[in-house]
Amino acid sequence: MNGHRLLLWCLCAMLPACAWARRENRPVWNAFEEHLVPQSQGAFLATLPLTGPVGLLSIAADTLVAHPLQVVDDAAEDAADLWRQVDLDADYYTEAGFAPLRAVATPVWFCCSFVGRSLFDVPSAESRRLDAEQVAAERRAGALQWFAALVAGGHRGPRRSLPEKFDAELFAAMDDCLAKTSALGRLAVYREAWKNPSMSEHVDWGLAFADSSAVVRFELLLEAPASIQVPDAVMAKLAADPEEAVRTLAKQPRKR
Amino acid sequence: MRTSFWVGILFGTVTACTTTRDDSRRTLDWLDGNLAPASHTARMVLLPVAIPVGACGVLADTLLVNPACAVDDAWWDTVDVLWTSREESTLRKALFTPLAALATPVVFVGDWLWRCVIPTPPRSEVVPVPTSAQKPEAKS
Repeated sequence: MNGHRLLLWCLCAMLPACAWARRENRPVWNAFEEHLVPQSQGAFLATLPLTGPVGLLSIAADTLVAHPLQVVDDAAEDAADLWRQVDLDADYYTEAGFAPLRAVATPVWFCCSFVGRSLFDVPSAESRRLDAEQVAAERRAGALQWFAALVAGGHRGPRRSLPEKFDAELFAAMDDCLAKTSALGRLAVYREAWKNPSMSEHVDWGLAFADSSAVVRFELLLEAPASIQVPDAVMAKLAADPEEAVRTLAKQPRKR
Repeated sequence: MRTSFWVGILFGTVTACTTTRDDSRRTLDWLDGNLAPASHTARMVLLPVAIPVGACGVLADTLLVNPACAVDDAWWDTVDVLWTSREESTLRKALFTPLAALATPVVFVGDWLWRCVIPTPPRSEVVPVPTSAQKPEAKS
């Protein structure tokens, strides 16, 4: 093997080190470091001529054997995902017709997933699920804190995204917030609600557009998307509003 | 033979991408709506028949129906790009017309092939067609 090929081989061997960057992806190295590498500096230096090559061997074992074995089940899960979406009750001939294509794609997708997961640090389905649950929990806690801050006198928007789906506790917190917060606080809630379908379904938009504060009525007419349905009786009241600015806006088409 | 076989498989797989859109499965939707067995048990039992029938439906949609339906959209895309005036001067239009005439078959065929292979929304989704229910806004 000449020098150029050896260099190319070494570079290719180092490429899978991307997966090696994560601690969980190097079990052999972790065991070697924990049990065979001396802690004291003197012993470490003395045994370096031995631990160095063994360390490189353990990196190679992780890269070529241990980590690929770790990701076989994740690659199989990725391939199985192709079949989880099949719903013969909904689209019988469509799903049956695509079955041969799925059958051909399954081993191909397994191989691609296996190679990709072996080379790079790709989170497993389980770790993605745990990450998603953690994000959902943080968003939920953030939403409850935001509602509490609005009740305490704040009026700014939330610091992080609100949950996509609100549960009964979040709806109760939102209703309580709307009942107790200031006009600007109510406006902050409405601004988030028309971006969030779950919140928007719960909000009584007729009540929102008939808010006691002219500022809220004006801003809703100005900014709320036309997809927000407002009862005709409420729009008629707005067209006869005591505030001229609200009357003027109520007679104009709302923004799309 | 082996190379052209796999190229054909690859092309067929890629063109089947258009059939992944819900609104590009006219034959399959007709089969699902009219010939699908009612009970779950019957569906399982008839699966060995349904697979080749469904595969024929996929082929029909991919190779016949979708390309035929794409002709209209490809034509109007071509008219939009080459023959729709955008407030150009008369001289500019006169100079551009021969070029547009030359480019028309190229753009049409290219757009048609693109719509045959790549899942693309139909023009009716991108450019809404006004219905009789929509009235023009009254001028104040």
